[in-house]
Formats: sequence, C-alpha cells, structure tokens
Amino acid sequence: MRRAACAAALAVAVAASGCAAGGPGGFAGPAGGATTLRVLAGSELADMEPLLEEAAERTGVTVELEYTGTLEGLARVAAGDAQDYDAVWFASNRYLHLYEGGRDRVREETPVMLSPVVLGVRESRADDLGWTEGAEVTWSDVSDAVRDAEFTYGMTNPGASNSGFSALIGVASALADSGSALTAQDVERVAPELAAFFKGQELTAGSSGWLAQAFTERAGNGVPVDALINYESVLLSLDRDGAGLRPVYPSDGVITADYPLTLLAGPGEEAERGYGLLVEDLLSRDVQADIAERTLRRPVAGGASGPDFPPLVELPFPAHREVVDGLVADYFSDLRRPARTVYVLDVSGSMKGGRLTELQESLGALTGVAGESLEQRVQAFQEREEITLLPFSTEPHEPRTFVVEPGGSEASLDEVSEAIGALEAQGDTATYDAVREAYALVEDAPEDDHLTSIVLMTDGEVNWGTGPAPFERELRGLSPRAARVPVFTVLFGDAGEDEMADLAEMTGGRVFDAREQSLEEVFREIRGYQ
Amino acid sequence: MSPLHLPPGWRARALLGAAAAVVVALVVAIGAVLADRWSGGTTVVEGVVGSEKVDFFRDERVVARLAELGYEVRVRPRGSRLMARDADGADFVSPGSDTAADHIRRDNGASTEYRLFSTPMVVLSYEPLAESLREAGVARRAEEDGTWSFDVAAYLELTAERTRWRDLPGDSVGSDNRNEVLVRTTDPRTSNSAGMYAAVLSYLLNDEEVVPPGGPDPEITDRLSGLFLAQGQPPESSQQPFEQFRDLGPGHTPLLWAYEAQYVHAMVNGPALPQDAVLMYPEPTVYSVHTLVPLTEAGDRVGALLADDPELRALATRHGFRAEGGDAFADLVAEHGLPVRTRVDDVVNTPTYEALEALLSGIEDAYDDSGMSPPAPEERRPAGGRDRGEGA
Repeated sequence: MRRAACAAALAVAVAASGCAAGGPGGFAGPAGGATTLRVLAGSELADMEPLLEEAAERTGVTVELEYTGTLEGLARVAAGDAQDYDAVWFASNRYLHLYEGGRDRVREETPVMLSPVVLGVRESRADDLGWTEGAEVTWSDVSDAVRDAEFTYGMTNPGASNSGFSALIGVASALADSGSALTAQDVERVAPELAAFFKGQELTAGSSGWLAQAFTERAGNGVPVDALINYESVLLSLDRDGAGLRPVYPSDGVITADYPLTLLAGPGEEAERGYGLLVEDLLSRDVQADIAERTLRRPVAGGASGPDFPPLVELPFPAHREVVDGLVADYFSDLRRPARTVYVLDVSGSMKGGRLTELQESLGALTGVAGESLEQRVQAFQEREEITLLPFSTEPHEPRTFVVEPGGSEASLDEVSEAIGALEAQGDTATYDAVREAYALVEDAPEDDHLTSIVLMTDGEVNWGTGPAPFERELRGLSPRAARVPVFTVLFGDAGEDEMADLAEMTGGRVFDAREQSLEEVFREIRGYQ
Repeated sequence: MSPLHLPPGWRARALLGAAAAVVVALVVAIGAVLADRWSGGTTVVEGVVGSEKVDFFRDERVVARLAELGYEVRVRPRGSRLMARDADGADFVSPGSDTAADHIRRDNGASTEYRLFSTPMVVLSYEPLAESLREAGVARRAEEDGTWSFDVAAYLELTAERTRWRDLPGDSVGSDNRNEVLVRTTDPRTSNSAGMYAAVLSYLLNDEEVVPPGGPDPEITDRLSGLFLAQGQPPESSQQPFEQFRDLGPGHTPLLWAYEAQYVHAMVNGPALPQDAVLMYPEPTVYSVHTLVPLTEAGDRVGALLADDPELRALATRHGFRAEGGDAFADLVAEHGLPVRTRVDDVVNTPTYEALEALLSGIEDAYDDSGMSPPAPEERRPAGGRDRGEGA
C-alpha cells in the first residue's frame, strides 16, 4: 500500500515511510493550484491513507501525513513545537485540551469519525466466562476474570498510544465508580484494584496496529492471549479477517476516540481553505458511509448508512492534566506488571569508536529523565523494572542484571548507567549464540509476573557461532514461558536486514530501524513494547 | 494537481488578487492585505462567531445571498469568552449573549451592535431517560401540546444527592448507567452556552434572584463548580457535544444543555436527531441573544444586512433562530410538526456582564484548584535529572 502511495502522482505522501521527498510536494502550492496540508498524525490514522487519496482527487487537497505517538504529538502542539505542520490528526485531542493554552494552538477542530476503546474476547473464552452477546459485563468483571480465571489480554502502552491511554483512564474511572470525573484521590483509592486488573495484561505494544498483529501471531504460535483492549474498529477488522473475536462493551462505560482533524492556529489562508474543503468532503454522507464500511469506525454525520454499532455508555474524561499524568506515571511505576528486558548488545570490533559511543549515549538516555513530556518521562527505566545487559562479540559476555529499586531508583539507575559506560568493543559477531544465551537467562528468571522481552542491537552480519537454522530449531525447544518472549531487533550500521527480520518474525517481535532515525529514538520507541 | 480541479473561482480570484497587489503596492505597503480582502468585486469579511452560528454562515444559501450583496463572509468559531481576545484581524464578532456583546463593544470602542436573533436554552435528552426523569419529578410533559419541561430546581435537588442514572425509577436504558445524572454543558471558562447554564442555576441558588454584581456568594460558586467539574473535561464549544449527542446516543450524552436553534436546525435541515430524542424546556430558562459587534466598516455593513435583509432573516429562521416580529418561526415549526413551544414563558434575565464574569471566574478558579494531586513524576527524583551523556 505504501509503495503504491508513493507512486501515484496525487497520492498521500507518507513522510514517515520515507517517500515525502519524491511525493507530490512539487505539485503543491498556489502556483500549481492544488493545496497540500502537512499533517502530524497518530499511526492509527494510517488506514485512512487510501481514503485521503480519493479525497485528494475530489478536492484537490493533498494530505501529507507524518506519524508520531499521540501524547508526544499533542505535547508538541501544546508547546508550540509543531510549526512544520498545518494540521494535526490524532485519535483524540483530549490530552491537548488538558494543557493550559493548548486550545490557543488550535484554529479549528472537526471530529471525523468515532471509535470507542472496548474489549475483544476470543469467542471460546467469552463463552466460558458467560460473556455472550447482550450480557452485562463491567470492567470489574474483567478484573474478576483475571483473578479467578487467568484471563489475559493485550493493551497498548498508555504513554505511547491513545488506545492504551484511553483504556487506562476508562478502567480507572470505572473501577473508581464515583459516577463523575476521576480525581487524584480516586486514583490513589483504586490503585490496588487497578494493579489487580493489570495483572492480566500479557501483551503490550507501542501502537494499536502492531498490537493487533502480535495478538494474531501469538495465537498462531500456540500461546494465545484471551482478549484485546483496542478500538472497536480494530477489533471488528480483526474479526472480519476471521480472528473469532467477540466485542464486549463494558456496561460501566468506555472512552471514545473522535478523531478530530485539527487545523493549527499558525498556518495561513491557503491551509485554511484546504482544510475546509477536506473536512466538507470527509463529512459528506457518501464518504462517511465509506469510512464506516472500510475502517469500521462509526460515522459522525448523522444519516450515513453503515454497519450497526451497539450503543455504549461514555465515562467522563478527567478535566485535569495532573490527574491524567499522575495516573499514567503510576501505571508505569506501580500498577502494571514490571518489565524484564535482556538487552543483547553487539560490542564486536566494528562497533569501535562512534558507534559504541552512540549506543552508550542512546541506551544511557533511558537511565535519566531527559525529556519534559509525559511520554519521555515514562520511557525512562521505571521502578521495579529488571534490566539485563548482555554484551556479546565472539561469544556472549558476562550478563549483568539490575533492578530499579522503588524508592532508590536513582542509585540503581546510576549502576545501569555505569555499566553501559564501561562497554568496550572487540571481536566477532556471534549473534545467535548471544540470543540463545538471552533465552537461557529468561528460562532461569524467577517465575514472577514480569513482562519479558529481548532487545537485540547489532551493527553487522552474523559471522561467528550458531547459524539461523539450528537456532530456529532450538527456539522450538523452549518452555512455553520463554517461547512467549519476543525479540525486538534493531538495525544499526551494517546489520543484516533479512536476518534481523527473520529473527523478529520467528519470535513474535518486531524490527526497528536505527539507520533512518537515531538509535535513541529507536530505544525509546521499543520502550512502548516492553 | 490539474488547475481544472480548482474550487470554482479560485484561479480568477488569485489573478485578480495578484493584479490588485501590484497596483496597491505602489501606493502603500499594506497592498497584500487589501488584495486579500478585495477579490473580484466581492468584499471579504472575517468574523469570529459562536460555533452555533457557523453552520448558518457556511450555509450555501447564506453564502449565495451575501455574495449577491457583494460580500464573502469567512467565519471561525470561538467560545464567547475567548472571542474578545481572539478578534485580531476580524471585521466583526458575534457572541451568543447581549451582555458579552456589550462588553466586547466597550472593549473595542465600537459604538454599534446588531441584535440579530435569539434562541432559548433547552435540555435535550432521549425518551426513556425523560420518562425516568418524569417519574423522579424532574421532567414533565404538557398535556396540551406534548412538549416537555425540565424542572431545574428539582434537578438541583437530585444532583445534591449525587444520584446516578441506575438509581432512577423505571427500567430505562439508563438502568445500567453508573454515571451521575448530570446535564452536559460546554466549558464555562470559554463558552457562552455554559455561561447561560450558570445564569439559570445561579438564579435558583440565589433564592430566585438574578445574582448581583460584586463578589458572588461562595456557596453558589462551589455548588456550580461541582456541577461543572463532575462532568470532567468539557467541550469548548456547543457544536461538538450536540453532534456527539446525535451520533452516540443516550449512553454517551443522556442530557445536553443546548440552544433550541440547534434542535430546530437539525430537525428542519438534517441530519436529524434520532427519533426518540426529546426537547425539554428548562423552567426557568434564559434567552441567548445572538448579537453582532462590528469592528470595521465592512463588518458594520454585514451586520446591517444580517439584521435587515428579509432573505437573510428568513434563512436565519430556517436555521432555527427566532427573529423579532413576524410568524416565520411559528410557521416553520408547525410545518415540520416539531414539539417546540412558540412561546416560552418561564424566562429569567441573565446577570450583568460583571456579575456573570465574577461567577465564571470563581468557577475557573475551581478548575485550577481541584487539580491538586501527588507530585508530578519529575519531582520524585532530584531536580535536574542526570546528564544524558553520562552513560558514555
């Protein structure tokens, strides 16, 4: 799809996928007659690309989408750091409106479609639990199922993705059951219930789309997760593709995304006209019906036909950023299952010099609070988290494991930082041996409730030790607990693209590319998946 | 993009604009601005208006009529309280209350204002919920014409006990809704519609007297703040919650504070509200008087046209607004068989601008104060954090 988007002359340019330079920029501007809107968007809007291309043909308004995380993007807008864009398009502007002055950055916003964040449960599991169609299921019922029936689910990272963020606010509000908007006192009061609820979180991800994919892969690998908390549209799309998911609409309420296309306050008349034309087109009855049919989001303009969507109860969204930020911070430090990560780090001879320094600085950044935004703060290593550094070259080096002690995180993080600083580069690249060692560490880890993953960073092709085929055979011999652990691979320097892709795929992980963005950005992005 | 796909008239306007700029640039440095404002015999006029009037100004019939009269009016929506501040470069502003208009007029040293049309504030709900509220003594249905009343004093009593929907009598769709019974409003810090809500409630809380200027009774401010804060994050303007009421149904927005015009417009022009949507007249209610304050000559001429041109006035009626004199509004609602009261009797006056402003400022403080929470995460570690490069 992306390839096609780049090729078509009038296509939606996807800057994030690297085709902006060859995109329709040359056709834009008043001289050529067409209007181009530069839009900073959430990755969940990617499925709108084909519809935007069609809209461009009708309206002459081309949309250049560039993707970023919702909270990160909205924080940029609030800080006045989005001058490169005419508009932003995220699943929700709620977080922006919590910033004092956030509204002043906006000239106009228009909700384009709707999708509540609900629960999709495997049909067999739903039947077991009596969650049949029309049954009244609350978020506390889900919590009970976690406690009594080993119910598991996947949910995106609330610091990185709007669906996880909305789920966190929704679940907290529902469990607080105060009937009105969540307060800081409520959050404190229901912390034990929330921690119990999040015991069931078996899968996390930095994006709603990848979460859905990982959910499907886990089932394929024989280690299924029972349910998924995600947009109704994502759940219905999965089910349309045969996932056998039953949407469950918690009767104590949900938070609904309204996808406001938002014109920023800065851009001029040209952008305003383009925005007006685009909004008019997107809200027209036919396009609304098309959106409903193709993306399974609910239409906003009354009268559009489309699939039948069941009614739902909306929970009030907190009016204060302090409440929201506090809840998100608590989620990472206290409420969620802590992360256990084995960082498998290539320190072979080719890493000598600049590459090693970049690795040290990038990983070292996670030991500090470098950023101001909520997303950056929660990307840092969190209390209770376990971090293992496993450097390797010709063979795996001695692993070092650190736990970020609650209350004493400063000292723990200093140790991690020191260990990263002490890395030295020398020798060959025996990648599979190192990953095998990482899995051995995972097998030996205590059987606690940590969410475990492996991150593999390498800058060159494997030239020593075990090859891919024997390694893949060994993977099949892992215990079910270790078999669930994904390897997130990082392409750096001259890393073997195919090898890294295969390794990620066979373990249910994902490849991240540190050749087009910085290694630090990649390590930060991976934090959303841990 | 081929020029053939240009919006109609765009290219011609651009060429004319460029030509005008060349000429004017010889004379004064502000040529570009004039080129922008003067295009092909049409004067471009910019207005900042309450979001409830955006549809009216963007209605193609209104656009066409104004074009016939020589104007292209571009509007951008803003809450009434933000309007005065955001009026930079605008030719007129049009808030939804005459007191706000007075204030903007004084602030800008404008001498005139046009009272264009008015609309009473209403409460929208859904039939099963209205029935529950009827059983709880909050809603009533008139026997004569089937129109609904919403007893605001009874509602205040209900909310004092923080009643939830599931606690109400009857087996309605609200029976498994755990949310408090609360009317959803816009943001009182920015929006006119919420200001009107504060006007009605403060009248009742002040023993049925319009709150006077000067420091408001803290008890009244507290009670009102509670009713706003409990709703959570409020929408800035009235159009968005109205659309959510329409699109997401009774579970999303059981009760909505709205302009009557929004209801009438939707029912007359579509997209219509769902069949079981119910229009209720708060007792008492207030009238929102939509006023235009001109800030430039051109804004003044547009104001005069909107106030006097019969065709534009007829179009305003089609948008659900009530204009003084004539039966146009009554004819319209009769024609469409709407459960609308052509006469709304139980109406109170809005407080003066200063009195309402004092009340709303008190509520604004409550928004600021109530956010107190444990220290933000960055405060949990020593200030300054650590140097990013330290690990190297």
